[in-house]
Amino acid sequence: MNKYRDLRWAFTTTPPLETLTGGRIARAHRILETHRQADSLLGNWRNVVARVGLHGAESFQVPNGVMPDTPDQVYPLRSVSRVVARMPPFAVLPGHAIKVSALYLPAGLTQKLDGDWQSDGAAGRIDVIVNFTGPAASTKIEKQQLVASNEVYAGESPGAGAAWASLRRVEFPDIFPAKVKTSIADARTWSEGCIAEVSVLYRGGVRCVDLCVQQVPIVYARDVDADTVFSSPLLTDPVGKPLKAYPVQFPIVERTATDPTSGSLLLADVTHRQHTALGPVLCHWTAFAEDSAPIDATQVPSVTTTSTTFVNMLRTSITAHSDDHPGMSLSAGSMSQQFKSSNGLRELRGKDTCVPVRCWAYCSRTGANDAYLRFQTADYSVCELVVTSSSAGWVSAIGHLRAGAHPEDPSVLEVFGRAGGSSTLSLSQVFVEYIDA
Amino acid sequence: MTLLHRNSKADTALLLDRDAATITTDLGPERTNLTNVTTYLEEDPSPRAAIDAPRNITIVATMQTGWGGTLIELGNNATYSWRLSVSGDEVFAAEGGLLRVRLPVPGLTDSKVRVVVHWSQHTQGVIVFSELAIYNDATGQWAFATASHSAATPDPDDTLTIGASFGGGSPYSGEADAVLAVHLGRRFHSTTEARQDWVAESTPAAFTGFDRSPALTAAAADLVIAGEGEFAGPSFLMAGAATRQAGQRAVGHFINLDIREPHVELLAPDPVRWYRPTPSGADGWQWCVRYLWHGLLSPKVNVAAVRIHVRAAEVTGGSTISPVRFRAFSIADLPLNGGPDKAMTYYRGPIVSVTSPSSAGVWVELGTVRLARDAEGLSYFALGFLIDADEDEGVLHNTSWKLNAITVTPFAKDLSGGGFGGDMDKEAP
Repeated sequence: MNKYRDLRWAFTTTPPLETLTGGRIARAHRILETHRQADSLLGNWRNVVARVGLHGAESFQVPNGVMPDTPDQVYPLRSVSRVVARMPPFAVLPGHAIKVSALYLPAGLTQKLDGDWQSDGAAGRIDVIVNFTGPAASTKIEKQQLVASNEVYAGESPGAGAAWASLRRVEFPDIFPAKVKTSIADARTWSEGCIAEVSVLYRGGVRCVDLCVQQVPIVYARDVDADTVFSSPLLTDPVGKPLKAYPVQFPIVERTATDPTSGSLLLADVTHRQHTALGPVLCHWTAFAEDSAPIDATQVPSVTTTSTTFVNMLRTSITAHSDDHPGMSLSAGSMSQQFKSSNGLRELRGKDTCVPVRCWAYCSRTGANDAYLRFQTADYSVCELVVTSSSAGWVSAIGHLRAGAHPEDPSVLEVFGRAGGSSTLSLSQVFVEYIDA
Repeated sequence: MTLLHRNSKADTALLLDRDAATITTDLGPERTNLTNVTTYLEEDPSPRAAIDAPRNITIVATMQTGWGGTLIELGNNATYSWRLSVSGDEVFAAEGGLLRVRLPVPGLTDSKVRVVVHWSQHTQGVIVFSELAIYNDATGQWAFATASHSAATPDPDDTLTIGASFGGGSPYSGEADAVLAVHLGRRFHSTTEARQDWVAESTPAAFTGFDRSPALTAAAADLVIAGEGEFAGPSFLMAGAATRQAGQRAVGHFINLDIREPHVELLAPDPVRWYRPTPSGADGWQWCVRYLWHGLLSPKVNVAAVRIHVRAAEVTGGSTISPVRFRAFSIADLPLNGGPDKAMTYYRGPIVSVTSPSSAGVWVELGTVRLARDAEGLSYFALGFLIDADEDEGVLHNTSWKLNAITVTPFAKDLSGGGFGGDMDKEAP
């Protein structure tokens, strides 16, 4: 029998625990409440997976108000897509969909080559391609045509503050394989073990201020008679809401030998899984830069090094980790530490945390010698990847990186690389996801 | 009363520490001492050391260039289960005759130094990951190497020797006297834990949010209290506590960017179309679309810690700049598409100033900002800034700044009177 939890407006409410402590009279509603909380937990999260956009750059890739009759190409082609960000095949949180939203300014001109380069009209489109794997393979492509500029040469609106007045937002439909929202059977298939590999592409004169890829909760379903892995105890009614009353007069360990719902055994399994198997994407970086990416580049231009000793891949004058350097952060990982390696009792005594992660890099190297990448959050906290291919692709490794004791305790993630002799190491994407390790 | 050693943990199979007791004294929970065989230490046999992955082996020893031999081994007269040895100023970690990972000791000289050797394994399915980290206490240098390999099966009949191999073979140059501490454990220890245990315990920054730490949970098969015939209460109490601690587990960062090519901002906006005054109307404060982000917020967070890495400089390299001031803005219902649909609301963080130039840049803590969001949870974040031009600006100096990195990390905090800020429900500590 399929049961489901509608997660769209679900979140935990942290009722007082005192009613469950010793010396209190057992009451059914308190048992129900623990199930209700575990059933609501998946609704708590809106994990940011990746961002791409203007992000501090001097100018957009698409020029502003330049006459389009030019000897060289200055505007993008109208019908060729340009990859601006990639995400590796990462584990989607159970019952979550991929959500994409973009802030942008009206799209600029495109060009075509007809003798010399000429205007091909103002147009812009953002494509999001998601390759789902796991229970089955499925590819989803979502496209959003952007409003085009009606200024001269499809430029940006002039005048002080005009960009704020012309700012627009486009929201993509929830991206999830199959008919998850209309078929509980499909929702059940994709609720566990779903892997997503995401690419974001610009086509035409896109002027994106900020594009945000997130995981958002929608629905979680299981066949309670057949499935063995649960991230929610599913003590729910036929419309996916928590039951209003505990269905039996006394606490039970399971409903039947094949139906574990309502019982303490499934609740233990679920809370253990929620505590160990589930965690966020912690960071993503793309080498795409609005003001320097060539207008005809269909892939993200890489940062490179030929150094045979480790250098920071973004700032090659840096050769060793320091908390004073710029970088990304893993501080949010302090919320997803594991008891076995990083709890606040004996293991790390509340002084720090580490988080188990899979570090990904979209990279390649020339020559015959392997190259190495290091993800570091301290001089002692390292995850190392070996780059063995001359073709750009994803490489990953598992590590336990320092995250800081809590979100207000800073951590600085730097990515160092070194090439083999007489070769070049190239890097265009970085991604760090939580993993149960 | 027996004092509990700070590094004696639930997984500890053996703990020796010369600073706390005679080196043969087991300070771990098992309290079974080793035998001192003059030049090395021994336990024969040592089933407690026959640990397969996940496993931790840490040995702290005195080292200098040219020293070699076996640091610690579980073996017999013909084979060994696992071994840490030194040769040519390099540490070798091996199991069952197979070298797993090797690593030069950083900064070694002909003077004796305290060195921490930390070999820990974790598993992913059938694959075992070995992490080898070495710390030179004199230079403060760390070295790190990792490898993946198949699992080994340590022999419980093997002998544990420290400072030599079985029977005193391959003695370590410094012999047992050079061994300062040993930890054998039945789980993976991260290098973060090794640093806390054997190098220095850190002092984290003070925090204001709710402390979320993983609770002890277990699958039903391992959790006897959830089974038939047990009291009903404990398993539900554990579940309730665990769910609370996991409340923000997969929230992640809201903004977490290392800016690829940051623009250098000057006093005059460029281009002016990208800048607008901040809604507070404070003179000179601006937003720029370069520093605008958005996304859906978790309903379980109400504030965010904001840090920016800023390089403020005088454009010709001078030593004086006007103060550059920053503050974080969290915004709901930002007007879009040419006009306001609803009244924009926002919260601001404190004003933080950079008053001196820095060629490398500095991290600037913008504190915590309360999070604003619309009914759907959609929120915008803008960095407000001001070059607070002094009388010499444009005359004796020209101030510039650029944003190298920004992190906005949401969390839950008690904003007033035990409430959760009125955004959603009440959050308990």
